[in-house]
Amino acid sequence: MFRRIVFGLAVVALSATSVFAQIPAAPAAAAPNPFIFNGDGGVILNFVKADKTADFEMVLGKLKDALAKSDKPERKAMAAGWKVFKADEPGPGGAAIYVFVMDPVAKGAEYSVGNILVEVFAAEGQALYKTYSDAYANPAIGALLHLSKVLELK
Amino acid sequence: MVPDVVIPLMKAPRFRRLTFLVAGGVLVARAASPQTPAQPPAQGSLPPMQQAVAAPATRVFSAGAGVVLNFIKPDKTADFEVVIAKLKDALQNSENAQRKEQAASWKVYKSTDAGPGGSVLYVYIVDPVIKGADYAVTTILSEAFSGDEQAALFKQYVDSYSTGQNFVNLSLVSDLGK
Repeated sequence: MFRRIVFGLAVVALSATSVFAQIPAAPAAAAPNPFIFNGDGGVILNFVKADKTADFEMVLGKLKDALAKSDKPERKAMAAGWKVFKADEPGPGGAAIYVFVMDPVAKGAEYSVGNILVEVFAAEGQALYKTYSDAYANPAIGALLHLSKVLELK
Repeated sequence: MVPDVVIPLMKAPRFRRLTFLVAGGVLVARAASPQTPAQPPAQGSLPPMQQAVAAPATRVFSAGAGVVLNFIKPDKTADFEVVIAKLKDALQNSENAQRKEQAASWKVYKSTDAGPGGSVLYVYIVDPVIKGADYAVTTILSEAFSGDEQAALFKQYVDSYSTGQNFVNLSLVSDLGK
């Protein structure tokens, strides 16, 4: 069965590399960090090159290790509510869609994969982050959603 | 600091591209697919009341989890939330045990980020999916409500949509806490 899904949310045609160059190391004070979730949940849709899914998943394995090894309590709290899924449907240009679901979020914690990797693995983390960035398709992220719970149906 | 890719929703300079992508962005499926979107029905094809009474298709997730993105008109969020509350009632009061199982793992969230075209994004997170269960909201409502009340709920539900839904089947890759 052929199914195709294209997400229309905030799809931006920027490679991870080009975003790297555009985002200042120290964001302006007025700009909220999009990787901090202050509500109840969060969802990130990641578009990954079809031939780089193994690389992407390898780094996610390291991310899991990093969260487990971290001495910071908030990293443990993040791990507890953070799942990674792969959509059955292909994304734009045949990209694989990896969906991060954070439910519940660790309020106020920063969910930047790059920062977590570097925090725990230092130079190796930088290399891992490059592998992670290179795996992104164009566009890289389909949506980054900060969610407030409306209702649990149970 | 190693930044991740940062893509805030509805960044003004991206609006034209965003609109274009949204226009082609709703799930496309073969007519025979059990996930063929029928809730809400295709916009503009029928007057609202006819849409409301159109036979709903099934919505069965094929993977272990699912996410549904619902794009709702900003002036219809109250209507949408009323219907969601009725959906909860329908699931809880159902004599079908499967409906209670569905309710146990079905949450509804609202995005604080503006959606395309000013829409408000409501996200269903279903984890885990109940295998084989039909998640069509209209079908569930039709089991619990009838007559004018059912028709009114269907109309309220259908009319609240802006650009439709994305229905995504998700397979777990990693639970980072386990």
